[in-house]
This record gives sequence, C-alpha cells and structure tokens, in this order.
Amino acid sequence: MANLLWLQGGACSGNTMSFLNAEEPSACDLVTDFGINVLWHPSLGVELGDNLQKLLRDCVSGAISLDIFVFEGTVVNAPNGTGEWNRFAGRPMKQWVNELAKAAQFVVAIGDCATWGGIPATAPNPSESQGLQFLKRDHGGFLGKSFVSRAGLPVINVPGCPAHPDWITQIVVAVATGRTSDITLDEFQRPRTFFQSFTQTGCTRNMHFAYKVSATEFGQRKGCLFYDLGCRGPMTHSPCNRILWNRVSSKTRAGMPCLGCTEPEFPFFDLAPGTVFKTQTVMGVPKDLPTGVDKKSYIALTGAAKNAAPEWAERDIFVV
Amino acid sequence: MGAVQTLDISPVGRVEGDLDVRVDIQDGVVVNAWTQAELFRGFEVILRDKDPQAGLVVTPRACGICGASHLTCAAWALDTAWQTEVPRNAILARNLGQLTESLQSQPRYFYGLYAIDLTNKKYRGSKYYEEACKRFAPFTGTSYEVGVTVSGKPVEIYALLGGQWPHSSYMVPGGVMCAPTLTDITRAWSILEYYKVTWLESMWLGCSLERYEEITSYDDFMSWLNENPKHANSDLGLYWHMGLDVGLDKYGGGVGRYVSWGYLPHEDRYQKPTIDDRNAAVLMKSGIYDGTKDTHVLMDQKMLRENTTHSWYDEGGNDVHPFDRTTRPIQKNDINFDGKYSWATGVKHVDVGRLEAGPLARQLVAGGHHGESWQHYDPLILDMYKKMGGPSLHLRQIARMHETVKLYRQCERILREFKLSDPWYIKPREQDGRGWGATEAIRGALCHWIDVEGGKIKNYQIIAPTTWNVGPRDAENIRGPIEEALIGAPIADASDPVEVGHVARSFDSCLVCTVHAHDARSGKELARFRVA
Amino acid sequence: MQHEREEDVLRADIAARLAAGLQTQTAPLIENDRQFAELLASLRGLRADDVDGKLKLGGFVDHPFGGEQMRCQECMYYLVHRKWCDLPELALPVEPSWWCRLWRI
Repeated sequence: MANLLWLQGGACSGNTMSFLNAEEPSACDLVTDFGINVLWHPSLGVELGDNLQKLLRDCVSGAISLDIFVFEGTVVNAPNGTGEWNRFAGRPMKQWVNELAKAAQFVVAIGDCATWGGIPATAPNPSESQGLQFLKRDHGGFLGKSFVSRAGLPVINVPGCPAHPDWITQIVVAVATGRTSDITLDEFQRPRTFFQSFTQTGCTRNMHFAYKVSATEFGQRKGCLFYDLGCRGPMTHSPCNRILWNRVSSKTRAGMPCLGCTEPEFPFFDLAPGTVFKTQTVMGVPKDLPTGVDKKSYIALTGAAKNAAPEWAERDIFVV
Repeated sequence: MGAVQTLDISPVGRVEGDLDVRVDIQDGVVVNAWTQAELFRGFEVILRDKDPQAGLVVTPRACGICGASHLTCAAWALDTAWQTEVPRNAILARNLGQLTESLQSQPRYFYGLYAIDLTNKKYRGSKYYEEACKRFAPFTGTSYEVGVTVSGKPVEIYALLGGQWPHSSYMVPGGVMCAPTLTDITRAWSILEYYKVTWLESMWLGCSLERYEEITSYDDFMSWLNENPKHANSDLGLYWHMGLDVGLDKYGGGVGRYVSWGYLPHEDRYQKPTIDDRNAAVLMKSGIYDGTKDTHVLMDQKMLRENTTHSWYDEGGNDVHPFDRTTRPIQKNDINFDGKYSWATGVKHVDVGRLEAGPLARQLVAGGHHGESWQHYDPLILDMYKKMGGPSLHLRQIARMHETVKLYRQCERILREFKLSDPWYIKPREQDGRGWGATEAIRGALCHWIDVEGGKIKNYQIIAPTTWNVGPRDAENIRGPIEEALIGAPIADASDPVEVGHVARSFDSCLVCTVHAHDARSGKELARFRVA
Repeated sequence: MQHEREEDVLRADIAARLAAGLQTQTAPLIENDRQFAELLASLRGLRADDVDGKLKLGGFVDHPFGGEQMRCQECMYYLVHRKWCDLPELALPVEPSWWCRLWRI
C-alpha cells in the first residue's frame, strides 16, 4: 500500500493521457493489484469524498502519509516570481509543490515540463517556468540543488514529451514493491534502467544508419533520418525503440525524426528558424555527431561504410 | 426571494488549463456564473520569431488530449501559407490520426470523466443508481475498467502512422512523414475490430453498428430503445434512462447557437489547399446553427472575433480578428468579476455572436441542408433537439456519443481508400504567407492562424474549443457559453453542487472539482468539498 | 535494364561535358545547413530534366575536391552500386571520383 498524489502545473495533461494508455499494469491495475492508493489525480482521483485542500494540507502536515508525489507540468513562477499565472485550489501552485515535495517519501517528475521546463520554458519562457530540480541543463530548478525527499533521493526524473506510460508505471511499481534500492539515477536524475541506452538502440533504420543511406525527404521507404531530417536518435537517451510506443511503434520507426525529448535541451535550438526537421551541418558534416564519435572517426566510418554498403541497402526496404 | 449564495469552484478540473467557476445561487437555482481559465503558458508568445514549422512541435503540446487535432490545424495552416500540394494518401492519413484520437476520447471521457458523476450520492433515489455504481464507479466499475483500458487501443493506429500518441508531429506541410505498409493497414483493421467487439457494440450499443445506423429520428431512437432489452441495458440505454430519470435534460442548455469548422478534408478535393476553398472540401460540413431561428449557414474564419475586455490581456476592448491579435498578457492577474477574470478570451461571430463549440454543435450542424450535396448529413440530434425542447446537458452527452459510430465508419473508409504505392509527401517550397488550418477536436472547433514573414513566424494564434466555451464575458457583458449554460441549473444541495460539475463537464472542459461555498452576503465559507 | 543503360549513357554524357570544361559554380562553398537549404531551393526551381542546370548550380567537377579530397564515393547521397546521386533535387548518375557543392557526410 502506497499513497500517491499526482498534481499538474504548467501542463498539457499529455503525461496523464500517456499514463492512461498503460497496460501491464494499466492505471486500474495499479490500484487494484499493486495497492497504489491514488489520493488525488486530476482525472482519476475521485474515490475520496474528502475535500482536496484539506487532503493537501493533511499531506503537508503528515496526517496523511504521502509516499509518492508525482508532478506533471512546469512550476510556473510568473509573474515576477509570484506564480499567480498558475493558481490551483486557491493559491499559486508553486506553494503547494514546495510544501508537498518536503512531505513526500519520493518525488517523481513526469515529463519534460516537470523535469527541465520543456516547451513552456522555451525562450522567452513567458511563464517563468522551471522544472522541479533542473531548468534545462542547469541543476537546481525550483526545489534547489540540495533537495532530497524523505527517502533520501533527489527528484526522480522521468522525462519525455510525454513520458512513456511504462516508464511511469514501472517506477511506481518499483516503489510499491520495495525495489527502490535498485533505482539508480544518471547525472540528470533519470533512472538508468530506461535512460542508459539510446533512442537509436533498436531502431529499424539502424542498417541504413550503418551503411549511410539517408531518408532525404519524408514519406520514403528507406533510409536513416539522422543525416537530413534532423533525427536525434543517436544522441538521445531513451528506450523508445526497446519499449515500443502504444505497443506498436516508435517515432523513428514510423518515419518521424527523434526530437531528443528526453534530454534537457528539448526543444533543441529553441526552435530557431531553420532548425526544425533539418540536420544542422558545418561544411557538409553534421554539427551534432552520434554520442562519443569525433569528426575524424565519423569521416573514416563514412568512407568505410560506403565501401561496404551492400546493393540492397540502396533500395526500398519498408515496402508495401 | 431567497438570499444569493456564491460558490467559488476552484478548480473545476485541469484539462485545458485550470478552470475555476463562480456561481450565484438563489432559491436553489444558479442565477449568475463566471468561468475562469487559470493557467497561462503563452504558446503564442513562444512561437513568435521561431521556425515556421515550430507549430508542428509546439502546438500538439498545448493539449495532450487534443494533440492530433492541434497537429492537423498546424499542418493545414502551413499548407495554406506555403501553397503546398498534399497527396491523397496524406490527407487520408491525417484524417485517420484525427479520427483515432477522437475514438480514444469517447470511452475515456465518458467513463473516466463524466459518468462517475452518476455515482454521486445525490442520485441514490434513482432506480438506476445501483446499476450505475456497478458500472461507472472509478477503477472498479465493470464498464469503467473496460472503457478506460479500451480507450488506449484506437491510438495504437495513430502510433502506426505517427510513432506515438500523444505528441507526434507526423503531419507536415506537403503531407505526412510516414509511408505505411500493408501490415500497418491490416493491423489497424484488427485494432478497430477489437474496439468494436470489446466495447462499442457489446457494451455501449448492445447492438450492431448497422442496427444503430438505422436510427435517424427521435422516434427511431425510442423504438430502438424499446426493441430489445440488450438495447435498454447497454451503457447507452442505461445512460439515456438515468439521465432523464435524474433530470439532466432539464438544464445546461447554453447560448443556443452553435459553431463547427467542419472536418475531414476529402482526399480528392483538398490537394491544393486554400483558406477559402476549405468549406467546400470537407466531408463533415462546417456551419453555424442558430437554434433561436432554426437556421443553418456556413462558418467563415474571416467572421471570427476575439474580445479581451474581461481577459488578462492588455489589448484594449475592441473585437479583433486573430490575425490582428498581439497576445500581451498583463502582469497582475487579479480576479475582478466586474473586470478581468480569465486567461480565456470572449470569442464570437461578428454577426451571430457567442457560439457553443463541441459535439452537440457538430451534430446540430450535421442536421442542416446547407453546404454541398455530397457532404455528411445526419438529422438525428437536430430532431431530438426539437422534440426534447432544445438543448440540455443530457442531449450534449447523447450528441457526443452518437458520433462514435460515424467516426468508426470513417476510419474503415480510410483504410479502404489508401493506395499504398502512391505518394505520401510532396516536398513543398518554403515561403512567406498567411495560413489557416482548422478541424474539429472531439471537444469542438479548433483552428490555428499563422503569419510567416522573413522565414519565421510573425504571429501564431489558436482558438481552441475551450476558448469558445469557457470564454468570459465580452465587451457587451454577454456571458460565454458555459457561463450561460450554468444559468438555471438547479442546485439541490449547496454544499454539494454536482450539477455545476455536470454542466461544466458536459463540455469536456474539466475533470474533477473542488468547491468552496461562500455565503454571498457575509463572504463566510460555508463548505468545501469535491464534486465527484 | 533499359533504365540502367539510359543512366550509363547519361553518365558518360555528363563526363564528356565536364571533361570538355563545362564551367560550374564551385564557389561559394556550402558552409552550413541554411546555405544548403537555399541551394536546394534554387535547384528545385529547375526542371527535373535540366541536367546542365543541375551540374552548373551544383558545382560539379569530375575529380575529388579540396585538401580533404572530398568525392561522391563518401557522400551521403551516393548510391555505390547504382553509381547514382540520390539527393532528390539532383537525381543524377555520377562517378565516385566526382564532387559537387552538395557533398554531405
């Protein structure tokens, strides 16, 4: 039995919608099979007949033990640090977040907005948004660098725009089943079990990546999206091609370039003119190379790959 | 005449930003209402000076529930600005994405957000109460669990096209990013079939789609209901009976005028999209239905105006077209019910005034004889509207769920129409210009305006369905649609005004409410509770 | 087969034209994706069968280019077996030792 409270700040509800797509366990399974007691959730937490503000205050005071505090959306500080542009239950949401985070055993940030600020924090960041413990790459965020929850962990960051439902449910199940000691976090406080590998790991276009065959335009039946269409799969940490989306596919499999949405810089280049769905290059070489590969090696690799490329790699592969 | 009590309801759910509602109650009836959107993220501000295609990334993230609809608008807006050619397959693939998102929403909204209210203790006296609790109770209700779980299925089809739902950007000017294969199509068929067998026919309708499709009038519907116990005992049958039993047909009407942009551009009629040609190119026709005069006319984006008199923007009090908006939020968003009290704006048609958007609007428009002869026509809901004495929150629900079968049929049609070896994308020439894209999100009329200048976005404006419905008063102090729909709602128990939740939720603008009740005279708080 | 023969004929024809000293625009070099996109847009203004126009605007030469000896063989858009430039805006038969301004790896 673990008490879970889920609130939304500067959010679109996308992580909630993603969460509701979950199977094994589904949102209902979490409640009925894993004993997750949803104290409140904007769309699910209806089994309480109690009033929300009293509930929140009881969580803050400890009258109700708050095991998992899930936050979706940015912490809105506008205008001028007051947070009045995002009021919730009669006061700025940021005040609730501050008090609830201190009371919780575990604090989980779901999605890019809650982890690093995401889309609302894109320049000029009109809502003065922050993530819970980061703003983009800068450690600190709303709760500050030194924040740890009662269980001694910093905010557990489950990024993504949105986060995959399994990344959410598996972390909740890990907490509920007492496996929290197995949760190890990377430098951005992401669970390594999900975010050590790359988006490219498992991508169906890997052969075209290897043999340097580019999808030069959308709607093609062959080719890797990295070379022309701005795909960030080789530089982005996520299991999108290991744990498929909606059980059936992933963006890169379907033909959509990875936007790097599990990384703090998302949306990259602040969506400046010329940066959307286009690979950034310098003198014919991609500006961002696959993680850990330097330019010299990349050039050598390209030469070797072109020499070795089999004939079939030049023809359509994802055919009707 | 009794004293006026004021209820401040904060929040009324969290779907399209934080919504708060204030109502004045007199003699047990709502006599005045104010709706407040309580979250500002400034997407229009973020999009200024960005890449023209930034809207494809940003706007689906304006709303995680209607992301496909935003993407649809963002793509068509750029198509019209860049004067692209969009291949037939791409039009179909965009429509399929839009449709599957809507199919997802039907059970998720009905069970997850709306029907829970029927288990409220207020309805203990209804003979349908026990059955409602058995089916609709959160997490454990027999229909709730199936409905919420099956809602994830249709968007698997979306993921086959766009890689994931929510938040893909697979629709781009000139077409779509994907090029589905035979196995994607056959898988999509199987997913649709699963949805139909598991929920739509077996649980929701209690009959085949074909039988349900024979219903074209109020009388047909009543005969269907009485024809077979399976029909009466279906979730639709139960909802119909219980809704009437507890009086949901007696309030929640609203402004009585309705808008739809129309949706689903026909694959052969919108390959060279322009703003002006859209009305004659969509399968589901656009229109305004004026219930006070029983007239139908086409809707035109040129006729739309926004007013910020009562909104937290510093843009004057004039009605302006979105192309002329500047989106200047004011710093100090104090609540003043005589002045500014919401982030939403007052949206109106320059001649017809304030309009309700949403599934009821779509179905009332579908009952009109305006538009093209080949466009979709369906008289059922308009007939119910007339036979049942006008709009109510009950009819709004029926209209919404009635659409499910039609959405399903359109999906089937698209899967038949794809020509897999034909193009999915025609690379466009990027250029400056003004564009407009529209659709119908499941919860109503949605559109985007874009102005591209010097290779970047000069102005980007969005009017969402909730902007229409949740909008505050305008310069003439005319109430917005939900404000108006709340007038006359009977409040049986001022300490538990579930009726307010019903009305607000019937627009799909909210999830769960917390209510603070204040005595209007002393300002003393009477009670705090949740409407659930 | 017919198709391949046509490509061979065209490739030989292009080679002859380049060998005969066809002047193409090898400058300025493409430094970034923005200039690349601009050049692509110009190429798209040409008719698909305007081979001369493509060669000139693309800056084709029939030998490796520059200190780094850049050539089609290593370019992203080169299909080794078909000896073909697969960039849609060019779509030309080429030799592995050639180069043009749209060279990318």
